[in-house]
Amino acid sequence: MLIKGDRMAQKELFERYSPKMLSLCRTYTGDLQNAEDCMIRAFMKVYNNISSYSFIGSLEAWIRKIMVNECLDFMRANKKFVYLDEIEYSEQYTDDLSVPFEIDAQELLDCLPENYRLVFNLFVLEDYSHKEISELLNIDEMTSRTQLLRAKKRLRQIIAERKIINDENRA
Amino acid sequence: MMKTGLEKKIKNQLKEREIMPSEAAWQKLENMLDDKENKPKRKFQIPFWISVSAVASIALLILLTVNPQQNKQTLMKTTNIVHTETPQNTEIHVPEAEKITQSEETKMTQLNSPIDNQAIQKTEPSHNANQQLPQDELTVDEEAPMIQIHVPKAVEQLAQMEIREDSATQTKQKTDLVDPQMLLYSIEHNSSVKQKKSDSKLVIIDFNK
Repeated sequence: MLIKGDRMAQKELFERYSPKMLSLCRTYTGDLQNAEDCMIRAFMKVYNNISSYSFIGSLEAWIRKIMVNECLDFMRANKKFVYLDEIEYSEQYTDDLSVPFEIDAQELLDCLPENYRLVFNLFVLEDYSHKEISELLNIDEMTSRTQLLRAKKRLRQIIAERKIINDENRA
Repeated sequence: MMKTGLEKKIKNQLKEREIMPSEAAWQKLENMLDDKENKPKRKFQIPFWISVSAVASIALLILLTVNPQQNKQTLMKTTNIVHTETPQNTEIHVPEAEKITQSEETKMTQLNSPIDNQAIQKTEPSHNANQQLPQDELTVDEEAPMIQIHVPKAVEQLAQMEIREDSATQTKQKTDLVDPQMLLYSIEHNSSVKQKKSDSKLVIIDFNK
């Protein structure tokens, strides 16, 4: 039905996957409006290329990949991120910062610079390897690693600041 | 690289999250789908580069067909100009080998004017303009001083007309040399054939004998 371009089938697919996909797009784009635009364009690609879906993996994973690619295209078109060539891989974080209070993941991610957030999303949320990220973003593998480390460092800083504020509020 | 507790927490939280799209989202998507369906499919168009290459190849073909003719004409023109100039101002210094061929040519054609003879000889190679011409036939005289080509058009035309007439007579004479039947008759009836003079080529044939 979807391959034939049946409108009802298309709507059903949209209704089933759009909430999750919009959430996914929101982690990449800065605001909800851009996220929705990216999602709509990605759904268009899904409908246009549904015949090429090989039924090997899950349909959701296939759609998710299209969404991620669309978000990356959007970010490239808007040139929202710049990767610096400096590579400092000496920073290592082995300690795990405990998060005693409830955190808003999206709020934390929004605090990150675009380039940090992009690598963090791809590595942590989509389980891409650094090699895959480097190919996808056309950057060096070491740059990808450095960006991830810096993203984590930045997150820790934010959490530490919030923790202090929370403790002060409790006191 | 192992994922830390923070990373896992972020991942789990975002994995479970769902954001409902706005009501206009589906409408927007549907409009895009309608536009795509209503859009007429593009007819097959010949790519620009194919049309350009076709035009270029046609132009090249025309050039190739026209140019040999132009070369012929220019070659003829240059030889004519040289020959019309030489008798007026300078003596013609023809190489020995060429002189021999020229004298043979004069005997054959029985033409009195040396200018005409040369003109005939020079026009002949121009028929095969594409072929590599021998050096001694192309140039009249390498040692002769260079002559400035400022020939009036009328003189040039006259020379060209002369050359054409001469070449026509030459070909005519060549074709009417000997009648084979007459030759056979003269051999068979040798007694009936009389030579007018000892050095003459004219003979008298008595058909009654």
